Amino acid sequence: MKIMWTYIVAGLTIFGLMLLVGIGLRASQAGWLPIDTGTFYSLLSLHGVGMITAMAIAGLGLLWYLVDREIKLDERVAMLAFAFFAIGVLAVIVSVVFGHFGALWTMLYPLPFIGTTWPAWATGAWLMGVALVMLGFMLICAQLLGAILRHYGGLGSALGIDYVFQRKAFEAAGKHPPKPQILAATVVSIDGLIGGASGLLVGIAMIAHLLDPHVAIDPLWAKNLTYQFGHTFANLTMYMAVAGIYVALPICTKREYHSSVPLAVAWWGTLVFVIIAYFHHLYMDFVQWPVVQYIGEISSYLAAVPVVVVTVFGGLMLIHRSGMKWTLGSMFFFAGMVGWIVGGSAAILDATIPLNVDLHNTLWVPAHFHTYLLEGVLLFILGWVFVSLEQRAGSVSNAVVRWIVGLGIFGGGAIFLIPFYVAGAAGVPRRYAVEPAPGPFWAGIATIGALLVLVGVLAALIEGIRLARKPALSVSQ
Amino acid sequence: MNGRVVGFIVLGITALAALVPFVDHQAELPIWQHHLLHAGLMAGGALAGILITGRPRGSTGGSGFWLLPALLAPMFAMFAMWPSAYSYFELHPMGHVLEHIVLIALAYITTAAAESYAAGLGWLIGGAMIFMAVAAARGFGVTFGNGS
Repeated sequence: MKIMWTYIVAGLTIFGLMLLVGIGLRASQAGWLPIDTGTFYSLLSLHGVGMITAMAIAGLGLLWYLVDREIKLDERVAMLAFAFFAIGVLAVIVSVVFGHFGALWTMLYPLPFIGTTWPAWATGAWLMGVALVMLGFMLICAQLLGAILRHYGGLGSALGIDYVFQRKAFEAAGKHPPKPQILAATVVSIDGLIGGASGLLVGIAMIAHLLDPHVAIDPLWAKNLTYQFGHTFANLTMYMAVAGIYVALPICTKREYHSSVPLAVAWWGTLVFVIIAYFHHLYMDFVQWPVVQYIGEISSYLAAVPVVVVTVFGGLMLIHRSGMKWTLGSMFFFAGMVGWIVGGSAAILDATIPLNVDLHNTLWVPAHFHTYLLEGVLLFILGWVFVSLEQRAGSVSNAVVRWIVGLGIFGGGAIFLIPFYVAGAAGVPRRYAVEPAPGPFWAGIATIGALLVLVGVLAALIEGIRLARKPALSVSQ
Repeated sequence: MNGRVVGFIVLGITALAALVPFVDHQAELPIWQHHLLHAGLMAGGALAGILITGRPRGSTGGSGFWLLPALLAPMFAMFAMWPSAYSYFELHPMGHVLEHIVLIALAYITTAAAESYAAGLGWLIGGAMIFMAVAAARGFGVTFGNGS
């Protein structure tokens, strides 16, 4: 539990700080808050990498705990990884606050090196910071994967391959398929190691270029690797948090979430296709091989649709006529599944080539990933936090608190997100400090929505502290 | 022949391949080809690490701290493949061979350490490292297209 809470509290703290930065950025785009363009891009860089890191740290804490419940893990390794995260985050903050690094989280080569308004050391600090975060992430992935391999005796059993293809013999031998959260952890670990390898390679190449400008880098190669790591890392934050559904919904509904053949096969789809779906970020790069553009589109569907459909269908079947109480914990999980579907659908629309022609690099892109992260990953994390606190305290929040939190985070969230979609559909470009019309109008609406989200988050924080301070319910009760 | 013996044979062959610069010290390879040859040496070192250290599937593994060298060694290996240093090494066979030995050793450490933590993990982390080494040939110190 100590590791889980350390990671989740750290992740949510970074999230809170980045939420404030994000509100400032939207208010600036609305013309309500004067932020000069250099500072805007520095803060946008911090907000982007900070939010993904926050969700990853919190999600890893949850995933680590869920695996630790099944297979004992060494806490010291998790704390070492946490140290990498902490130093990495610190290096990124130094790079932005003192160095004014502003090449955004994608740090696409050659942007961090040519025509910069920040010193070279800031680029170095940024690259080192991101590399340390990636190292911490890979350390946890390797720890989880190694423990799962040891426990199940190999990857085939951990992924349920023998369960799917030799089911009769498997069941006759009295074996049980891997639990759903183990399937999630296995997929996250493998894809995390592959994505991390891409990230480290391009990061090392850029560090080498920084130290020795004679080291050339192929820009298209760098973009492929950057998105392979970036898209995979961002996408995996969802799959870390989704593991919580398989454990928390059974607590809420008093029913069990079983592994099944469709669930295992759906996770295989995610395993294979998440790491190649990133090609959809490079549709406009005409020098890419045409075949990978098609792979990008097909993979985008196959990575997400099967696992969403099977997981959400299973979740709804658990909830249906279960008599589940609408507590903050169960509300967050239910709303998180909605956010996962909405954000995922918007992502798939953008990954569809004829639509991407219009939506590429418009505000539609942040629309989908803000939905995915704010109304998906975050809600699963908060859901887990509140299910744990409610279970521990043996009490739930009253209706007034639930309405305040719900209206703030879900209602304010909708008011925050819809402007991204509308402005994106109208062709307003993303990553512009000063947006063309109708961007500023919609940025103003989004700022109001984000402030409501802040109110909801603060209400949830106060309620969380209240529940945490209550004495723990004894086992006999 | 058991796995350990095969592992030592693979390591021996890889070590012999590392000595090629003593024989062919006039070779001036393009950087991308040089990267790929290094990837080949690393694959030999990685395979040897798995075969020599490998445990039976499902056996109790070692300390989680084995993961640290397993993850750091591939990073050091990428730094050791510093492209602008290749022209120097092509003129200095001793240094070139030493670079090869470092790469093989790092690849060995990667998979041996991963296998020491859990059987089978060496294949995955070693595979990720070889992916890095091969992928380097497409853009690390190399540019393609536009006539460059």
